[in-house]
Amino acid sequence: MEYILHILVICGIYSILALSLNLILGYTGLVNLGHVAFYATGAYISALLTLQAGLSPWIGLLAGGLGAALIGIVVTLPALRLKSDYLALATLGAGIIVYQVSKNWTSLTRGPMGLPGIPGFSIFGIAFDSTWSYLILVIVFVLITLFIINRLVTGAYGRVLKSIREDEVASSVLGKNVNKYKFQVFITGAFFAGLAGSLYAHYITFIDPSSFTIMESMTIILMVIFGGMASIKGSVAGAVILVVIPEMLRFLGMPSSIAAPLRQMIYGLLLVILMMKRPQGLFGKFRFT
Amino acid sequence: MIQQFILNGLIAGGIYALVALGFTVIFRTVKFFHLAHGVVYTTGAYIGYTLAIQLKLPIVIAFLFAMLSAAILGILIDRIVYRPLRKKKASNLILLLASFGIFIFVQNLIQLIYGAQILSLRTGPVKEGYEIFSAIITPIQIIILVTSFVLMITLWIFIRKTKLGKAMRAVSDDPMAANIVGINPERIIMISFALGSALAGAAGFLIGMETNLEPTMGFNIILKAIIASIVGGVGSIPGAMLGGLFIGLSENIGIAWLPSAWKDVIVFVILIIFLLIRPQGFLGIKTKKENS
Amino acid sequence: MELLKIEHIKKSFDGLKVVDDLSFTLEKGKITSLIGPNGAGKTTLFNILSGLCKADSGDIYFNSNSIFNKSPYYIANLGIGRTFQNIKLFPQISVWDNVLLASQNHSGEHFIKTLLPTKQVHEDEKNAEEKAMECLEFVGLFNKKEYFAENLSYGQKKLLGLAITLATGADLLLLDEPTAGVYPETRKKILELLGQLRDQGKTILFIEHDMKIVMDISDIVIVMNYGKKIVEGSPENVKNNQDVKDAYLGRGNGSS
Ligand SMILES: Nc1ncnc2c1ncn2[C@@H]1O[C@H](COP(=O)(O)OP(=O)(O)OP(=O)(O)O)[C@@H](O)[C@H]1O
Ligand SMILES: [Mg+2]
Repeated sequence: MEYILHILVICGIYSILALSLNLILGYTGLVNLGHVAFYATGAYISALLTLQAGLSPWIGLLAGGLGAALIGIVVTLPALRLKSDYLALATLGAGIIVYQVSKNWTSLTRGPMGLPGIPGFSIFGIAFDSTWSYLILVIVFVLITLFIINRLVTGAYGRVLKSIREDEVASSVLGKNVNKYKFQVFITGAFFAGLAGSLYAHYITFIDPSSFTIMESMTIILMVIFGGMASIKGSVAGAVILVVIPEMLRFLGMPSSIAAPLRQMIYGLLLVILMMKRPQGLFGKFRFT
Repeated sequence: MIQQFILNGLIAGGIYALVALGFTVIFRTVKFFHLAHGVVYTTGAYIGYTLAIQLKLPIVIAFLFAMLSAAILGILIDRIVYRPLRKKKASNLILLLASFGIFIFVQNLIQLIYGAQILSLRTGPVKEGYEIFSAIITPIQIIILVTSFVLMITLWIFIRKTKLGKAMRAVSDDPMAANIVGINPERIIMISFALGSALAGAAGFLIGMETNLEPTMGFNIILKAIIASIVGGVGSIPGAMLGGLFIGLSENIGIAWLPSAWKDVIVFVILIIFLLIRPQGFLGIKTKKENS
Repeated sequence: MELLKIEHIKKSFDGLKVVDDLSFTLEKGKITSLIGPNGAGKTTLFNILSGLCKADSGDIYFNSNSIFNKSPYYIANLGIGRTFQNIKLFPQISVWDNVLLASQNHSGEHFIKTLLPTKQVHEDEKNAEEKAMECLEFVGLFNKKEYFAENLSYGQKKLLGLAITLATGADLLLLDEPTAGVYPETRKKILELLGQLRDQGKTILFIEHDMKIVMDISDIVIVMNYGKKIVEGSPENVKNNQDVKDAYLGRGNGSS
């Protein structure tokens, strides 16, 4: 039972990651290969503020989100004026840089040794220290994310995002400030990914760079595409499916030196096949061409 | 001391330039960022390991076969994935994501076969180096330096002087027009993948003789190669070489002052500076957003 | 009253002068047609006017605001709408949403206001819907509103492009070959629409290759060749002008 609750917490955290990436990738059509950078930033900032500065995890959470958003600004600012391929590259670069910093700035992050003993959340003296209570906390954040992203993608604002995805030139001659929207979307997505990072750090209580490799970006991208680009329920479904399936593979009893690369291989292959055969994924309408 | 950093920069730069050159040759015909180029480099290195270390073949034979296998892998990637997508007129975003998927797939395949541990292509003990301008260079490093420059110059001459090279340039400039004058763009794309991938394979092999092999080695190199080609000017052949050397030199000279772990960070700072100030790179023409 | 004033615009691509010292003004409420052989620089001029392409020098005033080399969205917000020669729509969005996108100053397109929707947002959306309905009915596409734009026929796409431009409420409409390649019935309809728009007080600058249409509908005709304006005047004047005949004969027949 404990195990199932644990899986659900992880599903929740990945749902936030997938939803926030879908805003950027699925709705606005901006390729972001470095979503993990925002996730890692949120996790590290939040963990460090609570461990080193002794601040409340709630402040860490907020600072983690804002810090991730700041990284989002730094990444998008130089790349937005250029063709979208450059944005893809800049985001991939951000993913690598944040990873390198977490690994090499040992005086701050303790490098590969990681940060142990990250305290958990509590409110009015009640601690979220059991798995089921943490699940409730995560569900609340998933709902907040769902609510906000749903608002952004359904109304007139979401219409503009989709128009940018379809044809930014046509959108700009209709009076839409395309770069402003791209910027807002990136920062919002980064903020939520940062929150997810913080939620992860305070849940697992230990973080190290190995949780934030570029493979993690791959997993989140796949969740979005598998579930369906520009589909809210697709992102949640994608996150759940891609968390649960590898867990089931664990019961097959393969040694992890085989299971881990095998899983990644399947992910890579799945991405290629989806791109070739069904770019709109399970629930999406948008085919990305 | 600084001489040593410059020398190291030239050696690294030669490798980057080789990969960037291969990337550029391919980019010029397909016009998207072929990320999986990085994993072709890794494949070259590991095939080289199997041939030279496991099967104990002569190093030159192993090198040539590593290049050949890389070329074949490049052609296969294009045939199996990119070409059907091209037929469907898929957007660059689809191609980029597919390329990312291929990367992850092959990298993990290599890890599954060879394991995650670090391997080396070194055949003997590290030999005593020679001293030039108070910098030390080992015989292996001389081989790397010479081979990478010979390969680059050969390719450059090939593209500038031969008929096939001219056809490649024509396809790069205007595929439609090239098609009309009887050049088959698909054939040219295949040749570009073969040539570009062979260069990547060669670079992977060379680096394996000097440092180590690990399955994830392709990530860093492809990023640096793309950054090198941006710095040199996207799509420009001399630009790719110049950019590669520039990146290799800057990161190695940079670590004269900074801890060596910050190499990659230096490279990305260069990228950001270029994107902000000179997105067309040293030799490129201004990248314009299309409009009509 | 003059709505648009273009002064000494120059633009070259790789040394080729595509727009060469071009000046003219547009009167409010008139239909002006811009004609000239293929490659004369007409579309490039439109791109400069709508901010998609930066000119090398010159000046442009719209309602006495300078719009020279400003961003496309800024120019659009001032009230200049355009269509594209090779139709630009939002293919994987419904026809209905395509037209709704044309609404200007919609508060629902604002980040904060969309998160905390006010009454204003609902009102703006209602206005946008009314306008969209009106424009789609105007071009006769209201019954297709649920379709993805990519599933319309060529002529319907042209009409949708026109409807979108109309729905922006722009005072100045730049139409790049709105009738090219469409069925004669549709063409007649488009021309009727242009006439109605003028009667509503819109100012229209349109590019057209069909001389008969030009002669029938224009108040003023401007002829371009090699980036220069060679003649400007009433349809009759232009028809009988020797330079115009030379331009068309000398460079192949641009009309269809
Ligand atoms: N972005 C560009 N880069 C280089 N040359 C360009 C560019 N845009 C247009 N041109 C050139 O400018 C010239 C004028 O093109 P333009 O599209 O303005 O002609 P046009 O008058 O609209 O012709 P048509 O009647 O065929 O539509 C052409 O020679 C074209 O090749
Ligand atoms: Mg034109």
